[in-house]
Amino acid sequence: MKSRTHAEAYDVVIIGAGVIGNSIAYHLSEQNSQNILVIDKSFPLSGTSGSTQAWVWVHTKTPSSYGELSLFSSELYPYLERKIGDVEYKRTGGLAPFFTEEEREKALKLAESQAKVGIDIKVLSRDEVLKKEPSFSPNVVGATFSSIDGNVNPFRLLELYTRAAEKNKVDYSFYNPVVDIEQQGDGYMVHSEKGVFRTKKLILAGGPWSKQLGSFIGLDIPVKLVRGQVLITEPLAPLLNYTIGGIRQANNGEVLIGYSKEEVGYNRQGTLDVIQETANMAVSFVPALANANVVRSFSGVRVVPEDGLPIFGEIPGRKNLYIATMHSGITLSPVIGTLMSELISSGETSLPIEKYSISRFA
Amino acid sequence: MNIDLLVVGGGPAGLMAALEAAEYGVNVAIVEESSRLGGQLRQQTQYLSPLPSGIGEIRGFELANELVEAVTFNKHIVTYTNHTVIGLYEDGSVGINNGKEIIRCETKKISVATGADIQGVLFPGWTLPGVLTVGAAQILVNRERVKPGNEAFIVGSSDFSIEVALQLYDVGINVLGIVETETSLHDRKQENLYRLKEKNIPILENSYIEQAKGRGQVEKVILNQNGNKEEYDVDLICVDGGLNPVIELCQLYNCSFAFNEILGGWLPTYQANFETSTDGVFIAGNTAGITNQGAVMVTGKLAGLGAAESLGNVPEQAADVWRNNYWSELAKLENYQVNEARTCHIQNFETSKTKVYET
Ligand SMILES: Cc1cc2nc3c(=O)[nH]c(=O)nc-3n(C[C@H](O)[C@H](O)[C@H](O)COP(=O)(O)OP(=O)(O)OC[C@H]3O[C@@H](n4cnc5c(N)ncnc54)[C@H](O)[C@@H]3O)c2cc1C
Ligand SMILES: Cc1cc2nc3c(=O)[nH]c(=O)nc-3n(C[C@H](O)[C@H](O)[C@H](O)COP(=O)(O)OP(=O)(O)OC[C@H]3O[C@@H](n4cnc5c(N)ncnc54)[C@H](O)[C@@H]3O)c2cc1C
Repeated sequence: MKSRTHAEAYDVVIIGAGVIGNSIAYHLSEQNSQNILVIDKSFPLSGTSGSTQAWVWVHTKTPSSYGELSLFSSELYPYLERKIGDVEYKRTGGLAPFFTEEEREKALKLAESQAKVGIDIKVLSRDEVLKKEPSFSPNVVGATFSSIDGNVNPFRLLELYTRAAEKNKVDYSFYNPVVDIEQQGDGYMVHSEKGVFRTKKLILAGGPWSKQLGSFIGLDIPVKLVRGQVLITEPLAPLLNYTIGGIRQANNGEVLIGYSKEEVGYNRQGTLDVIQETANMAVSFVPALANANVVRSFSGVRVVPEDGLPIFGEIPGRKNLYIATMHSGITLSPVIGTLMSELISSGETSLPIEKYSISRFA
Repeated sequence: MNIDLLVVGGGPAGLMAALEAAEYGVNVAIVEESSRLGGQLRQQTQYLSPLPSGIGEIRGFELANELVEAVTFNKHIVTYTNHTVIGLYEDGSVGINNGKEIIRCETKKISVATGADIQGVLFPGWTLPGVLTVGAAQILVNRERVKPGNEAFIVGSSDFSIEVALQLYDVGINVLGIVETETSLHDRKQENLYRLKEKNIPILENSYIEQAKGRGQVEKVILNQNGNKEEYDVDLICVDGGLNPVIELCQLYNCSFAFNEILGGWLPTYQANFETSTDGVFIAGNTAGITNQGAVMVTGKLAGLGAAESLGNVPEQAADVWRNNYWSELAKLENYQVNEARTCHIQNFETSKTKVYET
């Protein structure tokens, strides 16, 4: 039991046990030099990390500097697996189809700009697409393809981050909402339902609740909430070979389908309008899906910074206060964990991260 | 489709809710996903007890037939079998699938009476054909007239599984015993225990199934009783891991939930009129907490009355009088602990409503 009366002290407190908070906790704990606490108002998969499509997706990420960051992160995945265990990371290769000739122009430009940062993209003709992915609709005009894209099992990923961090003596406090944050000298007092924690360094990794966490300490975190609804089919015989924008087939044969982007606040209800639209879209891409039974749907809420790019780093003017919030956190978690732990423990990072500072919105 | 009250589920709770609301002139549609109304009463061949006052001695499927008849001849009620409620549209209208198309239905109120699921019991070999839930075995024997095996163990000793054990015996299945991890049984219907004795079906206390074995189907079972292992030749294992309310639709409606072990686990929070935290969404039957069939019927009446009242078809005072009557009847019919848990669940309604953290 945590004591309510006097504050427990930590070197680092991380608010949020999603994929981002957990990756930071794990990477930081590898150094075994700091007392770390991760607090979550619920459990690790209750937020966006438990309702995600989990593509580890690189090749269409622009500007190319952001593509490069995603590339580094996916390069780290095999190495991460050797350290924390099998997270079912598969580098399947990724296809982003297009359906008009104008889009081919854009595709060629994308290939050119991404080549500069080392992302290898092929622009495929219709025949080449259909050869790679025979179940695809013949209405496709072409696709961009890269062998770097893939996917991961987000449940295993989060569990293995947590286990590895716990092994390195990270403390967790679940079902414990943080209700206020107070700056005290160079450190922070974190007020939670189960007590007060004193910490030298504080990291905000609250995903879709980032705005609320910011408001505790007078900061505006410029993110919006974007709902996505995902359909899951019954297990089907092997149908898709690659990870495709919007559709992939999981190991067990289930196909995950999702395209929707809805700004409805933190609302995880599913709506039949979108479910039907999503199903129609999937059938127009992969006609054989017309015969599949959809057995479930879920919806998740993306946290998307206003300019679409990740926000992470120290908060200017707030010594020892850090933030990490972004869309595509599954793809990015290995590199974000690595860079944030470098920054927190030494003040320096092996890659420049200034362009991801929250100060760009000032 | 455009109605006052949509009742989802044509089991005893849904049928009673529809009949009660129709008394007050409410236009009701009942949507049932299977091909017939009657719900899980359809395969219950045992005499039901206790039942609400005014209903004489009757078997489950006979009661189902009577309720279905009453509903069919009621001019305020329309019924749709082979129709499944699968979701909600953005504007709140309900999506109903009839296997060919999805029908949009606008309704003022909804009553969710989707019943309960039976949980499995896990042991090595539990996925082999020949391992069924007690409910599935009951459906096969009493409704489909299929004998699922010859030599059986029952796992779990609720009144429900004891009834199924007796019904399997009656169709010539040799029931070797009812396997129970507990060391002493309480609260079981005495009459059923007596009938078990009569038929030489033992309740094996302090025991569990270590493993089911067989090539392609169950052939052998290793039973652990008081720490001693013994192997038996059986081809049927009927498991009862307890009933849980079916609540998916309430999740779609964003109802708030609470966990209540005695009522069967997670279920929506609700008020004395059986309305959930979402306006206009009522629940009834096992969806509102696992209880016996008689009590299930009364919860249906309460939900039907609540919906009729909120539609303005019953004056508040009259509704209160009836509601009090039904609540006293409920207290008489259902197990004391269940009734206590239900009362507590309802008392917590206001607090649990304010406790929802995510807004
Ligand atoms: C439909 C959908 C599809 C997606 N597809 C992909 C994809 O294919 N590839 C990809 O890389 N990304 C994808 N994403 C995005 C990715 O899932 C997210 O970027 C990532 O999960 C964010 O992780 P997080 O740790 O920041 O947030 P979360 O997982 O939401 O974690 C935040 C945690 O903070 C806790 N918290 C918040 N406030 C408090 C408080 N006051 N006190 C205590 N704890 C608090 C919450 O309980 C929560 O557990 C998708 C997202 C959605 C919704
Ligand atoms: C297989 C089985 C056998 C049982 N046998 C016994 C027994 O012998 N003794 C006993 O005491 N209890 C038994 N029970 C418990 C049973 O739940 C109660 O006896 C009683 O039938 C509960 O009534 P109800 O109206 O709440 O639910 P049910 O009788 O289960 O009725 C619910 C109805 O809702 C329909 N439905 C569900 N979802 C949807 C949807 N989305 N759209 C449309 N329709 C839907 C279902 O098809 C079903 O007909 C059994 C339960 C099961 C599952």
